[in-house]
Amino acid sequence: MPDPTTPPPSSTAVPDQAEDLPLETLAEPVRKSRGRRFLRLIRDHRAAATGVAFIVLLVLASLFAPLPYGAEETDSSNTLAAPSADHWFGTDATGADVFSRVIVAARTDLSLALMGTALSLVVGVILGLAASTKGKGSERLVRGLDAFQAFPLLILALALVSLSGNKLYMVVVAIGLINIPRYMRLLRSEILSLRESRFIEAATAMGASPARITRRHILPNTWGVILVQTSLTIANAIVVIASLSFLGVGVSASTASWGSMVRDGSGNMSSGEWWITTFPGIFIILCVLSFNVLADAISDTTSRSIR
Amino acid sequence: MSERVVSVDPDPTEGSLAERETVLDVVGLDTKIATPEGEVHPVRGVDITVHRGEIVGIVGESGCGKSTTVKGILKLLGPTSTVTAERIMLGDADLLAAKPRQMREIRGSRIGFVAQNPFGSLNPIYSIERQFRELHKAHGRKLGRAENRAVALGMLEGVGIATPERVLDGYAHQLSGGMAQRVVIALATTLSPELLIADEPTTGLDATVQAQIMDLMAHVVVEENRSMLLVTHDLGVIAQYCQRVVVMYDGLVVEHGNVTDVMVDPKHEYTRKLIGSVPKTGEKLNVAR
Repeated sequence: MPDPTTPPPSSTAVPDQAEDLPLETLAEPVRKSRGRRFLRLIRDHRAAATGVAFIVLLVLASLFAPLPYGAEETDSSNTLAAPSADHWFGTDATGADVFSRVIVAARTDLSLALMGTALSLVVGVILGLAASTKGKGSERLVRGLDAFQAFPLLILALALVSLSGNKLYMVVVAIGLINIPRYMRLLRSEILSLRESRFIEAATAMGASPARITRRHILPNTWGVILVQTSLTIANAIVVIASLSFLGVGVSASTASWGSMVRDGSGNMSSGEWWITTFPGIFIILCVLSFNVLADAISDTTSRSIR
Repeated sequence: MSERVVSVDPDPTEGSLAERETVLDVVGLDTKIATPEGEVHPVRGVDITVHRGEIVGIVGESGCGKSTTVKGILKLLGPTSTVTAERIMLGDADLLAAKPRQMREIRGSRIGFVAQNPFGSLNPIYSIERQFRELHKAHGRKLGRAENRAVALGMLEGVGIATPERVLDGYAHQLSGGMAQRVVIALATTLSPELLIADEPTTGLDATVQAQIMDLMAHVVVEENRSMLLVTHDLGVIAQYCQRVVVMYDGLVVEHGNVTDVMVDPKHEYTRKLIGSVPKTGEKLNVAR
């Protein structure tokens, strides 16, 4: 039972509804310094900040960190060693240091993921914009996309990459094939709903041309969802690349990549050498998780500032 | 700044209407909208005349074609609809024959449009200052940043915003409904249009704010000797602010004339019912439950 003598806490913070007092309605300063806004962003989205920090650290480490062993450096006298102070993540069947390989693999995996995402983003946004009319043509295009997406795209990617003779750039194309339809769909539905919104009518009523409305009013308003989709696409691309290299397609077997490391170590799992598969697997999970929480945070921030 | 403009033009006999300059002249406006179920015909043969310095009200129930009429005049209806008329003249400009490009030049600079729901009318991701800049750019006016800001500040002060600096730096979602509508009015009048078209400008606002916004709009019109075409379903607003009124029902104009004449001696049955439907203070409500 609440003590009747203490007033309910809500009564102290009655929002001021007086709309005729402009001073009151903007009680909070509209502009905050960039630094403070940044700190607040981190405080509000700790998981995403942690994820971003992890990715940044991983990228920096893979590019610049002095690793204890070379990624290709094998040591036939020390194969399948368990994690120890010398080999933090143990060694694999060739005696190569798993930790060094996991870190170096980030170069290949993340850069392929980023390139694939960039391709999906650019092509997907352009095609999505083109498809965002209400005409019959764009309806048909969307039906076509339905049919295309109904096909198991990973299989298509697999076929494409292996038929091309394991060209690395085909991995990027494969990621594009999987993700371009997603961007198109998203952008189309977003633009169609934006076109109905009142501020677009208001902009027309103020004399803005259709091109100007698309460029200045519609596209900028889709950036929130595009950013979210981009973050999700990177996560998806990491999984696609890992799947492909797990199947031995795309990234050549000698180059360190998480998917091929998981595959290499999978045979040792049954004999107890768990570390060869587990550590690259954990890095895949951490990267995907990081980009997913980042997407969440972006969606949260952009929708809050708009609505 | 926002002193109440109580009497806008109390004496409609001052200068016979025929002698006053005609700002908007619409004769026989028809709109057709193609829907999957066939063609609908929401507005049929509407005539509207607005003279300089005059506020003309369009009143009627929801769905009677009020908004469609004004959007038809502005050619804001979507591609599925067609607008025909005997004539739509804005001063010497023929809106009926105007090409899309000419129409764009007229919108914003010669006709200001104030819609209902002010939040929706402002782009959520641009600061208010940026929205003023966009308006100038849309009309090919190259203003420097400082110049744009000065103009916008003046406009915001003119619509009774006490902290224009802060509002300019703010975004639509940071404003109250009344403030947002003031901003919209400021935007609509920045390029000094001769005609304002307001489509239920006070819908969704608090009752007290509604009065302030209507006062402000009347003030903006009177001060610059502009004209306004006001769409509303509120007969009280019509009685208080308009000189002439057009009563619409089911896509047709059923009655028009001086506000006092129509209010005191409605000729048409529908107008009589509309006036009778206004709840009066002290009257016992007759609600079937």
